[in-house]
Amino acid sequence: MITAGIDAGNKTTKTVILKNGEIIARALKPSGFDQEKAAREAFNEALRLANLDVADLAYTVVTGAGKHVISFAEGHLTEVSAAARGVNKLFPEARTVIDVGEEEGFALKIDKEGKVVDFAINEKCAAGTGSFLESMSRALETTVEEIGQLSLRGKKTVPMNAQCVVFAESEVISLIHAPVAKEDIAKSIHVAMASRISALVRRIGLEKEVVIIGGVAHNPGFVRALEEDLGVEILIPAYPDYISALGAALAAGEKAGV
Amino acid sequence: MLQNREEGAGNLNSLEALEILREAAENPARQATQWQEEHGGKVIGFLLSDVPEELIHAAGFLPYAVNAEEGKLEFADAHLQTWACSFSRNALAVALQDKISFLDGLIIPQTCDTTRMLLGIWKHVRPLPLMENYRLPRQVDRPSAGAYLYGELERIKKRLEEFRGKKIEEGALKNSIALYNHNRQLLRQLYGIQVEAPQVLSSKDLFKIIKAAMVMPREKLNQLLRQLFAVLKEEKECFTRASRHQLVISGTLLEPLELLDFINEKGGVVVADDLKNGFRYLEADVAANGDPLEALVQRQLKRMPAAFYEIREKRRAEYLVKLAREKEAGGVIFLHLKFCEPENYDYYDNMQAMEKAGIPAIRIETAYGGIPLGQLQTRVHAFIEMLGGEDAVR
Repeated sequence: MITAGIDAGNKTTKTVILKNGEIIARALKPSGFDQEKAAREAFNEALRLANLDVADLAYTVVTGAGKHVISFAEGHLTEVSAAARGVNKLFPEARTVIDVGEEEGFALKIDKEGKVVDFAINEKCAAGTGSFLESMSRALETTVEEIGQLSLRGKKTVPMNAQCVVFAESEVISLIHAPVAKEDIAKSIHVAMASRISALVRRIGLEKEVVIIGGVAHNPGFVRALEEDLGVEILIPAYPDYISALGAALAAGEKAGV
Repeated sequence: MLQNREEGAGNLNSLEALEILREAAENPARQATQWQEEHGGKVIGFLLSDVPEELIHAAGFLPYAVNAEEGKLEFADAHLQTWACSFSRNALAVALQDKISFLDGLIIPQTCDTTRMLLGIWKHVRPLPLMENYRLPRQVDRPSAGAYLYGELERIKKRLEEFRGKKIEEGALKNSIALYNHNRQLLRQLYGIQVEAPQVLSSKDLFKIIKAAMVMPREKLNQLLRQLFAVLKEEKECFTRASRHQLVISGTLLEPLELLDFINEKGGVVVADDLKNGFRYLEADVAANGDPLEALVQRQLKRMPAAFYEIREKRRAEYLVKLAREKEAGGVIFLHLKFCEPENYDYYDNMQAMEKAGIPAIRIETAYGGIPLGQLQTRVHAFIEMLGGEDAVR
């Protein structure tokens, strides 16, 4: 059986094609303004890579912040359930899932079957998410790809009080003028951001193994800061941005199998 | 006059009745101004919750719950700190925007620090001929609570009588109590229909009806509710109850109403709640016999627990666990208004009790004045998916 999962995220839209439970193709496109178009492109690209046609798919499920605007998907699933299923497929021993995307960060407690036992989502605030890192990268005149590496070279952290991206940016500018070394500011930013996410994890209760997914999982500075904050090693899948799309494709399989 | 209106309403079908109620929920002020035009009477505003509307009604006034939804925060920010809850800020804003200038009076129950101080500010910025605090006892188990509350109700009654220039007769108060008891009974019947068949009466429509009830003249309202109930009761029989995720909502106020759509569209149904603009408004009847003021006292002291209201005999956390079990709820949504400190302090106890009882629960924070609905929808849907397991894909 072949199914597709789409994750219509705030920044990128991902598609995963599954054949008998195994990934055979994946594709990613920037979400942009027209999310339906981005989803269609990622979907077609994945089908092309798998050498398949829409008619070959048994079922398609969409997840992500833009899920309700994707008209061609047959089913919807929340980001929370999709993340849990995707992680469970790759790491059956995972009990805590941390998903940090562009605008949303959340922590899940899951059982051995990948069912969500509890979850916590950041409260309408970008301070613990990818957009925060983008904003901070601009302030430090670096890129979102570089800022993580930069923070690993930091020797010390300075306390950052801001709980809000806008205030954090002015705080960073004050640090630049202090002056504080760039890598130390970068480290401090990651520590502050990790504390926002670790608060979510503490709310649901930390249980091993811990897995991180979402675009921000690519950032080694953030993962290090979060590991130090939580005092555990955090597992990272090979393609952390595709896990929710994988979860959606797995859910599509269950739906088609019913 | 009243007779004519009731006869007029008698010709309506249930859908028209529902439309009138929806319209009243959308445009609450119109209910008051229309009543004033027809009767030339005075309108006494009040803030939720627990204000004895029966007393206001018995004095011949129209009780009117101030609706905070239309408030613009920028009007209130000049007078009230931004960390006060958005209900209080928006309610004051509605007055500052002159949207309730038809009010002749205002009664604010003291249920938290903000409501304790709000009337003082209100008196300065929009003074009204009658402005009173309703000082509720918080520790209702104390032997002195009943005597204290009796005195407080006598004080409010006296103020209403002075304002009216005439005494409130015992018979009139008993009639008002009977009218309100009947109204609550009708609202509870409609609540029951929503639980049994949300396809017939959606959760959102039910809460709109409750909202309309808070501003509509009771005589007209009861007529509409009777008609609506008669028809919906028949319609309900056509539906077999689908397997649904039964939820309890606990908190201060239901806002925004879209939350109920998110519950219904994911196959959820609200089987019970303790919200001020929900079941708390319709749960407690008043004894028809004996001293009516004493009956109002007893009603207040025996109400369901709330964050602002401590009952040692009936602790809220235990009450909520019992409620969830009795109603066979799969989960509890704690719906908190940002900066509602009584509710926030209660939360730890309530959550612990749910965890101990093995009842899944989620805390969702909202506010008046617009919150991102997409995030709210994700939270509600994810919670229902968590309860529903395999049926998650919709």
